[in-house]
Amino acid sequence: MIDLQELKTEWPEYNRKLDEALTLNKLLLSKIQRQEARRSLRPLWTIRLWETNIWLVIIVALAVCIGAFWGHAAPTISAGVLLLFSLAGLIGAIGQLVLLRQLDYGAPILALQKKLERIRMHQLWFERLLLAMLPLYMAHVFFWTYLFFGIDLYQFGDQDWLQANIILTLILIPFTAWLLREMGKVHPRFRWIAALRRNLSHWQIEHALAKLDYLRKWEQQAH
Amino acid sequence: MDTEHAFAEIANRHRGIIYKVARSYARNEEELQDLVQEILLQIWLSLKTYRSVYALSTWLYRIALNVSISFLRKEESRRKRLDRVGNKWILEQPLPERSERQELLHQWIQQLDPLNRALILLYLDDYSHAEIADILGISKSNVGTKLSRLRSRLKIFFTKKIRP
Repeated sequence: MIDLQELKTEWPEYNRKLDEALTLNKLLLSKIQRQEARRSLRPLWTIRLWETNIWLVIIVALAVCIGAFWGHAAPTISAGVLLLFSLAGLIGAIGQLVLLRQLDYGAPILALQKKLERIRMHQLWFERLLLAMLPLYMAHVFFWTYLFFGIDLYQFGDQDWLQANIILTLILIPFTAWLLREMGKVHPRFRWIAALRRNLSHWQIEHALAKLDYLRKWEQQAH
Repeated sequence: MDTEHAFAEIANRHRGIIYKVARSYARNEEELQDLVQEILLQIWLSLKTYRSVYALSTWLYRIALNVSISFLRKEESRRKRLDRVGNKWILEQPLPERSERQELLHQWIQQLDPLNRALILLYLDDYSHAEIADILGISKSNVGTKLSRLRSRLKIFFTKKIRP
């Protein structure tokens, strides 16, 4: 019966012969040194930098709006809520830049592979952030109505309409929390959630989720 | 020694590791060339972060394995923008012939999942359980468990292949 230990003894001899047959030509090495621009995650770095700048612009704009809306509770609070979400977006984008900066291919395999997949999953994080706004849709209604038409809907809106929206918001909170949790799973409980994720995200997200799951399972499979 | 010379020296001295890892992950000759190039590029880019607390070969193994494991998935898009630097860049002589057993071993390694492939390569290169654990980022006991499972799988594979 062939054993791994037995094969291991043949390995160094083959390696020695292989080493003799291999030669790296100097042209290759010097060309590689000039290929820094081909760094595989460089485009991602540029995109995240743009994203960070866009979030910053949105945050400044919202801060200006808060100042301008002062005295009208609903539009001001709505702008504050949007500002908080934008801050979360900004933190996410900066976090990605930090992760990209910290990538070290000389790190242990599992640690680096997990980092890479988390970077690839950023889009999913962003989509979940947008979905998390679902119960707070009224913040958008109050904010944009005031911004474009100068109308404070909370003050002048129909009370029944307002109550109906508050009830809908309360219903949407647990639903959204559940949806967000399911979206982060490799195999969501319902097909429509997987389909929703596929439609919202790039195929890479599905791959990243599956690979993270594989890495986790491989790491834990000790006994 | 300046960085360029250090890179050339490291790449040349450890070309065996680079080639061996790439060969275990590439599915064909074209991928093999791209992967070796990708590993060399990453070594060049990572050179400034190398800390001598690690043996150079351990650090190189980590880079080669990390690049290889994340390489295959993005292969298609990568190939499109790859500026290939020439064909005859690594082999100057024909590869040494492998025995039937070595050939089968290579086939078996190729059909393993990426992390088990890394584990077995390190084991065959005579790294201790502690060193393998350090390179992969798992516990020493986990290495032992996984290796014993792989031994059983190897036996089954060889039994099937050798049995007439």
